[in-house]
Amino acid sequence: MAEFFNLKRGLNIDISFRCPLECYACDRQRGYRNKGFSVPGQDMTIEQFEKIIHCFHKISFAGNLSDPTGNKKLIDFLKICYEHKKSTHIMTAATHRPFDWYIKAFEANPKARWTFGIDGLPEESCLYRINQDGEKLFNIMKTCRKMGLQTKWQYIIFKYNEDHIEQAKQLAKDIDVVFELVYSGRFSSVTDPYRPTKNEITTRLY
Amino acid sequence: MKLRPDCTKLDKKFGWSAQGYLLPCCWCDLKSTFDNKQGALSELVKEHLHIDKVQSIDEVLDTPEWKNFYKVITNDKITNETPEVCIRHCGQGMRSIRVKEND
Repeated sequence: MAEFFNLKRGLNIDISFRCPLECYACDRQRGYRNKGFSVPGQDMTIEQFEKIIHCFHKISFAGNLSDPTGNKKLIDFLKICYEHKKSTHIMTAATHRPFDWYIKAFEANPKARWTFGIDGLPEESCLYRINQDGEKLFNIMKTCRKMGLQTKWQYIIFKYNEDHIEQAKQLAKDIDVVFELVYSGRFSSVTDPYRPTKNEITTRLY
Repeated sequence: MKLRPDCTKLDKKFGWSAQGYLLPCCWCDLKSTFDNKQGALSELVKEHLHIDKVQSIDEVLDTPEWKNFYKVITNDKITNETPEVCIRHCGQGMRSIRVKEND
């Protein structure tokens, strides 16, 4: 058994417990805050990160209950990954950091892949990603690509954005980023207010 | 129903909780895991497996807790040790589908 797991060398890491967003289907809300609990955890330290990183070839900063930008050391972690030649992927949707901070993050690891969660056209993404500035994130995504990093736009399909997919796809093409549609497995029921309604979409949902 | 656990596939990444623990995958980072309600999975977040209590990840993987977890999820039968989150995602197939449109 241990031998088997030792072969697996990719890690999806939650380096923080912080996130300014209040996305409806995130377990941060459903599992903790909606039930009156605070979200537990701590910001990962450099020492902890260095203990972990040598065991893995691929590091994803995706966040389970947080956004990776919640940890102010993210830029340091990205530098460490670059120095150690680790395949690095960041998935983010929060927008509380200033624009310059992202530039430093992109420069810290020019080989990192970035995925930006913008669910709908930039101005409407905040309907699900509560507290997100979608237009700011769109510009950050655009800059990421301009700086030569691998860049993806992740678009979760909801009722409010199901008619805007083609428009978003064109926007993605215009700024030369990969466009990925997500048919979410998180809708609580067929009456979920965010659940898409179009037949060609709902037939692909869990 | 039989589990087809993604975590036994090499391309599925381990998860890491902000509470300081290695997990089989990111779906396992639930309140119920830490509330001891996820059978063999909840055993993986015992205090002695915390990042600050071990020298390396290999040390974590070589513990009876991880060996038992592997045994439970590769068992042909669902038992009271089988984590509910594994049944939901890797038994019933509750997951998101991702489609790249212009790669």
